[in-house]
Amino acid sequence: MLALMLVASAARAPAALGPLYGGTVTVAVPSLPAGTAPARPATAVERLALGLVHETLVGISPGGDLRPALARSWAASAGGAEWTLSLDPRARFHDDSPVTAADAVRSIRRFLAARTPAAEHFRQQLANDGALAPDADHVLLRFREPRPGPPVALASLAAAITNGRGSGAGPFVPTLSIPGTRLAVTAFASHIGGRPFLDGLALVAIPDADRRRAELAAGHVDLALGEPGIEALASTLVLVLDPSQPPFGRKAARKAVAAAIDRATLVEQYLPNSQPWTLLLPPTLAGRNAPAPPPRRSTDATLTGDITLAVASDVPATVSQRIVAHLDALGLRVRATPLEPAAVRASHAAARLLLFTPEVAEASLAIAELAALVPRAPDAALPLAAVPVSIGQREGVQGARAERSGRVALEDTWLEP
Amino acid sequence: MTSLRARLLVAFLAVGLAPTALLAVRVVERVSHAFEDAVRTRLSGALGAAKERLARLGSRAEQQVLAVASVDLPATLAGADERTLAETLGSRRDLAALEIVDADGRVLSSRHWPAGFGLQEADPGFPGDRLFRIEKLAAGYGAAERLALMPERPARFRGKRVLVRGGAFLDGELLGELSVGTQTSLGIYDAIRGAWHAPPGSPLASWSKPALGAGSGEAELTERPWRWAGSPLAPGLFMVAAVPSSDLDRVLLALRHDTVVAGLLALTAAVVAALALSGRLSRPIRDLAAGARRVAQGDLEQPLVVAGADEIADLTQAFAAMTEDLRTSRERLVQAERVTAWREMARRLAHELKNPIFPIQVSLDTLGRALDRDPAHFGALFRESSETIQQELRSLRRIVDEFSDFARMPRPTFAAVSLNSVAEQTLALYRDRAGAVSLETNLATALPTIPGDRDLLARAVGNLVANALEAMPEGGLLRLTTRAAADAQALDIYDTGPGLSDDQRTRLFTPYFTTKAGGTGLGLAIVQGIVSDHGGRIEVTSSAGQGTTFTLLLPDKALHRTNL
Repeated sequence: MLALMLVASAARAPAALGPLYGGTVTVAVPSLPAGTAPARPATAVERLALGLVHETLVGISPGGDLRPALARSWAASAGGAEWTLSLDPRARFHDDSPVTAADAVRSIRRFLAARTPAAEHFRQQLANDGALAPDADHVLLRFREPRPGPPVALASLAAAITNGRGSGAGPFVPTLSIPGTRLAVTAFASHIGGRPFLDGLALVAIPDADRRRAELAAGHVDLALGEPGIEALASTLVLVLDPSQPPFGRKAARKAVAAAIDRATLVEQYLPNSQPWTLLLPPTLAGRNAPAPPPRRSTDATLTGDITLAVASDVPATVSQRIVAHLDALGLRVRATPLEPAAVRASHAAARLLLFTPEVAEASLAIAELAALVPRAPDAALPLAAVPVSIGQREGVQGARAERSGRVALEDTWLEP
Repeated sequence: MTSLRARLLVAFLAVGLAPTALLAVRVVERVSHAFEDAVRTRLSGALGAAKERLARLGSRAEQQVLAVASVDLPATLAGADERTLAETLGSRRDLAALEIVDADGRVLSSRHWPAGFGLQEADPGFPGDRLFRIEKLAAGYGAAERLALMPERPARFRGKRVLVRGGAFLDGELLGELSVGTQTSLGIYDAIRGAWHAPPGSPLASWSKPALGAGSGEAELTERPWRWAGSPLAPGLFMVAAVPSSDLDRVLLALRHDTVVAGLLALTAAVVAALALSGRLSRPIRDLAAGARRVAQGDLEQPLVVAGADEIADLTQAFAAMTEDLRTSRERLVQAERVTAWREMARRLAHELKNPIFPIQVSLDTLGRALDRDPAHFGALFRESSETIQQELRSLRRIVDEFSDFARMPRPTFAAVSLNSVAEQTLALYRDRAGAVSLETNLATALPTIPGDRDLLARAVGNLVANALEAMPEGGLLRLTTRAAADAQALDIYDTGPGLSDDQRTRLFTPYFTTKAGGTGLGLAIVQGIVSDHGGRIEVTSSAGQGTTFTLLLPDKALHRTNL
């Protein structure tokens, strides 16, 4: 018995030893981003890839508060109208150059020019020429009005800090990019959070979900995005109806659509890891208490006309088909058009079906983002399901996590021997 | 080409070409109709084959749906997932479209549109038809509508009444197969929704709002003409087959081309044949006409050759006989005229010679008598008589010279001659002899030269001027006028003398005829000979007491028969 206990103890020993450095893991993803320049991530894959390569001045803690990142601290002046962020002296870019205040200011100005919800929010708050570098280690932000702290918008991946040569400061250094096929990164030893445990990561594109699942099951890949495993209900499936276009100009028509869509069946049949959901914010921001699906009401109302439904490409096609079936059952002839998620946000289609994942995982900023995205009319934006960002992992892969921002974080991942 | 030959040619061509053209048109029409019939047969055959294929599909679907309704559904396990049932059973029975609908019309399960489960089935059909439907099926992020052939069967499932509906989609793949098989473009038109169900790229898809009631016709599709035929599958649903008209047009174009070529060949052959035949027919007539022209011009020496034994040969024979008679008569006349001329010449010669001979004779007799009877006066008489004899001998010499001149009239030597110059220079020679006669000229300006012998023409004009002066011993007017005439130049010699009687005018150019006491009557004969040798002619206008005008008409171009 003792021998057996010793053998069992020996078998568990590596896990008991804690994280280990070394090893390379392969991550199966539905698709790969076109590039790794700082931007507002439109999909979970982009969020994953950009999060591997880039670092921001500040981050969002699991509780939704600001946390230090490249800036180790911040302090207010001028009654809260100015905030000075102190850069961590250990912060370095992938080309081993130090992260300076000039780099940070240049990156902030780039962010201000970006067309993302967080950037818009930040622009509205920052005074003209409000980002300054009084010295190499400090960034001074001047605001139009006093604030309780630095803006959370700085946690957007679009606000990631790069130097003049485009190098990032994330936990991994991109080493190989085959567009649409493969993105390989290696651990960045000087990362502000410390060297990742893994030596490297390879993201490979496998568009077919069944094949991703099969590859994971066969052990050909170590992690598979979108597979059950580690997950966070980070997105909301939203059907947005445009009240300025027929037939959704009539409130009755919007109510009929809202009543017709059976969220429970939708989730049960097509979104097995999701939850029926009635709030626009995802549970990670709205709170863990998921509202109960509304009681089913009669859907005898009939509508007429042809409409276009713009569908974000990260929404499963079967989900889109089910929504089309609902609208069709109401009498509408629907032409579903798949678009890139960013294009769906800007689309003027009569109806849009998209996964809402806030640019920054902070409630107030997410609400501001929603306000720009959905019309201010009753039943014009129908939250349908809380959708998780998830990652499946083979046995022996440890430390992967899904953040409330919708980002899959792999910098703490390690492999059991 | 003679007009007769031309008429014959036109007649032959008309007779030959009219049937050819008629035949060509008829052939094109017949081929066109035959091809049209073939196209109709091909289209109706294609429609028949396609409908037969649909009938087989429908029959098979009927059997499979019956099997699902009567075998599969009752055998379904109680715990089976309704939503995937249609997929399972459809796969088993090879039914691309399969749906199970409850008594309220809600979809319990659908293979082709699984997203519709639990929702009201609202796919439209066709009025009065339970076979064809417009079904939604999953396509990308939404649905596509396809025409489906879906027989249905009532059934019971888990104690409830349901309707099983299954079959096949009449999609582009199936219609493409049928199109290839029938070598036509096949499509199905939904007249209720105004939509085509056709293979990708089918020209029929571009046909907006077709009027298919006629059952067949022509239509402009993708900017090309097509022939089509249609047949109803259900109320408001038509199967249509079409073929491009270019096939027919190509054949008709080739046929028209061949017909034109054949027509041209026929036309060429007809022209050649007509030329040969009309030439053969018209040659005897042309020969006869040429002979008649020769006879009219006085040529009676070339006999007409009579060939054949037809009416034209008879006519030619008669004409030849007539010509021979004319020739014989002319010879006789010429001989008679020769005799008459010789007699006249002998008479004139005798007369002319007798006149001087007589005084000579008398003088010699007088000298003889004087020698015998009066020798003293012989010398004086001899001188007087010898003077008389000398004078008469000179007359004899003159007479001999004139006859000699007439006999030795030279042939003209042609050169470019100005008629005005001839007139002026000739008149100048006679100014000294004009006496009381006024000489005038009225010469045309810019008169070109004519081919002629200057000396002979001057001699002819001189003769006429001399005659005119002699006709006006008491004085008068002599006027020379030149002018251009048709293909000739004219020289008018006008005098105000006593004029000529009709008899004189008639006999004017007869040799040895003269109105003058001492004339030989050879002057005008010589003039006529010169003018005639120049290819010209002389006209005389005169009446007694009115003066006389001699007009020399000389051709302004060299005659081909000139003896240059």
